[in-house]
Amino acid sequence: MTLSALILIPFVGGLLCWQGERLGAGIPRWIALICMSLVLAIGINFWLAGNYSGATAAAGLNWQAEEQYSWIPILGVSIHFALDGLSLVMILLTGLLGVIAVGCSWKEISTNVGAFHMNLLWSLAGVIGVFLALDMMLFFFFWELMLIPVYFLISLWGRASENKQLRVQAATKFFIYTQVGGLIMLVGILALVLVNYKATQQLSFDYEALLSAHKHMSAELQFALMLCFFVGFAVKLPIVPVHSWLPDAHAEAPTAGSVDLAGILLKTAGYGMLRFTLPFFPDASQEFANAAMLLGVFGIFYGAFLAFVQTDIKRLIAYTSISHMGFVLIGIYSGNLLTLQGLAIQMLAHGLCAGGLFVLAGQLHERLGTYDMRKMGGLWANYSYLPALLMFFAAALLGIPGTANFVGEFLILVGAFKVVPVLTSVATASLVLAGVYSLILIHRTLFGKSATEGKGVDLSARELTLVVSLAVVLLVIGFYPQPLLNVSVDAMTFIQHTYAPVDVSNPLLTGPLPVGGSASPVVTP
Amino acid sequence: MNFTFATFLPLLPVIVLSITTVLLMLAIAIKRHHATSFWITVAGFLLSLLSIQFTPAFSDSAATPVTGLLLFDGHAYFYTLLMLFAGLVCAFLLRNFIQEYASNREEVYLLLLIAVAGGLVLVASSHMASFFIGLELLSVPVYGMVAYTYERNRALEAGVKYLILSAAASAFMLFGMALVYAQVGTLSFVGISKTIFVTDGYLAGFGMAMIAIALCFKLSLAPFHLWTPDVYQGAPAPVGALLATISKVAVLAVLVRLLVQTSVELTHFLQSVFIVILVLSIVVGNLLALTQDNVKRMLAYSSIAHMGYLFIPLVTVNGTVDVQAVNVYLLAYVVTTLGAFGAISAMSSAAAGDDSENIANFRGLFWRNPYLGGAMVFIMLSLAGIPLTTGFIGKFYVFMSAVNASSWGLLAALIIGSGVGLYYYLRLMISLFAREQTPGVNEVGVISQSSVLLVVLMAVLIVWLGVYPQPALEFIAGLK
Repeated sequence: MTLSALILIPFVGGLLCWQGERLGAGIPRWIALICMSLVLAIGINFWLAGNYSGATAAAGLNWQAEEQYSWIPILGVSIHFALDGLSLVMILLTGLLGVIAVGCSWKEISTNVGAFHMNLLWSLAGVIGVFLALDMMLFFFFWELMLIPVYFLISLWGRASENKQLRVQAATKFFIYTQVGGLIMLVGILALVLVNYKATQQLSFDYEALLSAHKHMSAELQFALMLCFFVGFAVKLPIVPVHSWLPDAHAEAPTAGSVDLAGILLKTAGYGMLRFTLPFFPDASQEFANAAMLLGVFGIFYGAFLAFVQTDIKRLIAYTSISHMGFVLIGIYSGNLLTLQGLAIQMLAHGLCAGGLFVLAGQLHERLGTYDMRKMGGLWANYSYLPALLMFFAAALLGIPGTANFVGEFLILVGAFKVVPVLTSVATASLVLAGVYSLILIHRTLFGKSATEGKGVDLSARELTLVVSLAVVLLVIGFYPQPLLNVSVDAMTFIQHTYAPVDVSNPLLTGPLPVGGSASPVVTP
Repeated sequence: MNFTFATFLPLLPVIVLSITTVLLMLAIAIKRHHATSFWITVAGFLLSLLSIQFTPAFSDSAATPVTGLLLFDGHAYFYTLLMLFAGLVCAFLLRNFIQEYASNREEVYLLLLIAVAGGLVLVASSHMASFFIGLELLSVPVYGMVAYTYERNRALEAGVKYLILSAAASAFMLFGMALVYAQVGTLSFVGISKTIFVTDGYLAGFGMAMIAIALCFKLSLAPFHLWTPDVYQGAPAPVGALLATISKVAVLAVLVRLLVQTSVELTHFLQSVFIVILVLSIVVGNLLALTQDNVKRMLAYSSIAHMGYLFIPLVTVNGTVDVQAVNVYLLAYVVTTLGAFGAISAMSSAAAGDDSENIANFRGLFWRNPYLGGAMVFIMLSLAGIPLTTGFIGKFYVFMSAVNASSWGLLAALIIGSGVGLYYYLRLMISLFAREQTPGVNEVGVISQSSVLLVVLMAVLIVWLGVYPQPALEFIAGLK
């Protein structure tokens, strides 16, 4: 029941928000806040109660909670939810960012507050569904469903520019990109199910039933189906040739929508690759690993270069997301425990960091009325808290030690170095570029001649709480990531075992490394 | 042959409709009264729906032939159900639409009843004669219905256009039948399928191709689609609903039967032709719908694309037809299309010169009438095939059918078509929420509340069939 509750709370809460608006504009905000806090609380409860680094770590799936209901038996589809360490990390992130998203739109949204929060909560319900679903049809339902509320968020409550068509165009672009990617994935899902059906005579969309389906197909088919899944997720991640919806969507979205998009929605793609693509198609994924990692490296540099030349602060952050997702791709396809564990941290850290930056960008917009960095400058003199926090998040973005971003990137790079040393070295060089775009962000906004006269209105207690709490979480994970690593270890071990890692290309580095290597980096108490 | 009452029992739904038609005609002759005519029609549809229960094939799912002309099986009754349901919805829409119309209002129900009866004959036909009679019985009243409000803009033009082009298609079909008969000497579907490849000559093949062309015309598949947007635009919105649902369902049903019953080689040949036609339809329908500001025209082009999708399960497997996928998709298509035309119809009246069919009429609809606007959102999502709606379930079956046959090319067409289609569905959907309204345009017509209720019901049905499709899918899978 608890797992269904995780989805039902935001869903029902959304309906209440919609109708609650009749009682007053403040009601939906409180309902939404309570709902997301509840989700976060349930997530924390799972964390405290569960055992995510148990003895079963060898190769089994370690579900901490599982629920199954009959839905469409004629197609072999059931409502099947389950939670393991990986889902839990994602749900904690969703809960936290959900609270932040509600908080940051407290003042920003003033029209149709109820409907806004309904869409926000429903998109979060969809995302939680994606993280919990273990039936491919159910997964696909949630995967598509979360798009519709986000589409409305962008097109109805997006940036108030003179040309309203712009935000509708951005939302439509987002929808069409992800929908086409989704349909390609649907082909992959159906083919996988039918192959499994022909081999076992059992029509089932269930995750565990499909895990062995790859044994029944030819290498070419496996590769083709893997590509179907990959394309579906690549659009959402996004990976460079199919990324162009992201900057537009971010630029036009309201702050909560951006937090939602960058912090959570992009992570569903990384989650999907880990949970589905690698275990379903281990051989094909290995074959594809080098190409995927090349795409990742290309994306890292492409995103970084484009981030550098942006004048719109939200577009800048959007391009840095593309750059960071390149790391995620490398981490996924290197496929050893170090990179996979690093991934969990990296996805979490990026969600928090990008979320924080978007919240700050929104707060700047509320004060200055613009996202254009050319019209900013000299903010350091005008505000007391805001510049310091912006500086902190920019530093986290470039991966300064002490923040969670550093832990994530470090683990990914160390792990990947054993597998693809040359590519990893190239990717590491991009950290210089990360420094460049973070500094240009700070330089353009905080320093130089002040564009506005006099002291501005500083952050209110609400705004300060939002941003500082994100910063604190980033720091805590940065200094003491072990509890989080303990949560994801079983799930990641399973993924690593199904996806035997890419052959180590440099024989000098095959032996266990002092930092971990073949031994688990996690010391379980 | 010994005719007893039991011989004609499977015909019960058609008989009920025919009796209703006669009764209605008499009622009109005695005294013109709009409400009475309407309720007689509704009663006729309801009785006909009820009477399906008493037919033999429905209870034990055995195919029952009636003389040599008709064959009633589970599929025929499924299509009958679908058409009677659509007929009922059309009747309600027509009533609200035509309420304020100045001249005669009653005969339109007569035409509706005859058209649906024709459809019922068509879906059960297993012989070229009944096929032709059914098709004409379906088409001829529709010419009248399209041009019924003849003094309104474009109605007469649309009616005449449909009449002439339809007649040309019928001529094609008759000539094709004659050619087939010249070679094989029989007109029953089974007889043709048995002899067509045994006898020598090219006449029958040529004839079948001509019949196929006529059917494609009725289904408005590219390149035989040119009449569709004009006729949809000119026809009153409730008649548009009828054109887009009943006549499509009936013709498709007979095509499915033709493909199932004829020999594998012929089916194979037709399938290879249909592949070209369906890809063309998907491309043409979606691309031309992109720029339409007129919602009826947009729906017309989108129906061309939908027919293209619907043909995928017909052609994927060589020599056989995935009837289940066709039926699921048809169900989704009928419910959704009725909703879409219902929404236009709810905002229009026969008393006005034009229907509220421009995208400008829909701007800000959600704020003026949240129920209609909200229902419209689900209808558009269903047309686009987004999960939670029945449109997705239909599309899902088409995908499954194509994946099962490994028709990757068709899948590519389907995906690209759906992607392009999203653009215009979303465009209409988001305009429902527009804050700024075009002055003067939005006030057209009074929104008919009972039609709104009907559209909302369709939206509920769309979501229900989308979220919990199990009963419907089970029913369709059980058809024989």
